[in-house]
Amino acid sequence: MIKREDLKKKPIDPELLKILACPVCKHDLKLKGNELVCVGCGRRYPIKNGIPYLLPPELSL
Amino acid sequence: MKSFEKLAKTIAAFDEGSKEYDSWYKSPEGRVILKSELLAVKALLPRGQGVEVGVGTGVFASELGVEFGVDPSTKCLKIAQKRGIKVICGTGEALPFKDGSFDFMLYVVTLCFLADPKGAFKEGSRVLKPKGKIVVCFIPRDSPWGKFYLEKKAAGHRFYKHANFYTSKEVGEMLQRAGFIPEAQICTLLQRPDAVTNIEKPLRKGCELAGFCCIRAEKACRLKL
Repeated sequence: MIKREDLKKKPIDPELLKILACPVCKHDLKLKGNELVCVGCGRRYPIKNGIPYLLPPELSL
Repeated sequence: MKSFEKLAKTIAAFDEGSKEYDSWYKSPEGRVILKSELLAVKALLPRGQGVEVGVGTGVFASELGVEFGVDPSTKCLKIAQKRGIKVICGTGEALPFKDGSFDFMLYVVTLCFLADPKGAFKEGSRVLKPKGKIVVCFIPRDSPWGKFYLEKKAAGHRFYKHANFYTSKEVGEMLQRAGFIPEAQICTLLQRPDAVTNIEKPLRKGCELAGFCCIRAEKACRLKL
């Protein structure tokens, strides 16, 4: 269960971060502030309220 | 590009109707159907770290103890997050996971909304560990329930107008082409779709009559020559 106070400390669940990859090139993602940045292609993905938005660019918000 | 346009319309429909979609499972008919479907999925559910693709509002993942959920509808994901699922906004066709991350993948009435099912199953295979399992649950097109939902599609139903339905034979073949070996099949909802009254125990046979069919398949190991 994700607690509100945990979300304040970290923008994303650490267990989730371990398995995430760029949806386009599948390289690892690094947490930078409130964003996930692909170490391969450099694409940036936002995190809002603990939810990483990892949509392919054609569907990005 | 057409597949992305189609997917964007499906996502918009689920974003707009997330509360309606979720509350249907609390209706008298929805409860009976949900309980019957949960019994079927439980009978085939593998152990280990799993993800539900097309997790929606998290009804199935929370009842089944599936830890992770991915879906492109943010409105649905917010409800799933409240149910305790670790959620990710993404699509089945471009999964945002590292190779070999999961012991199993679960797709519950997701296949019909995928823009590229074959591509999605290949992505599923990529993120599974060696010998990982995929469980695909769907409404068989050739059953009375399939015809019932095809009528809803033709009538322009909010969600089902975006759906494509398949027979169990087609789903099995699709999985094989994506590198899976089907190993088990189960079905439920053999009562009529317009008169649902009983919670049903799942059966190993009768997919051509059922409203809900599940196929479990194993990721095939590639031989290194």
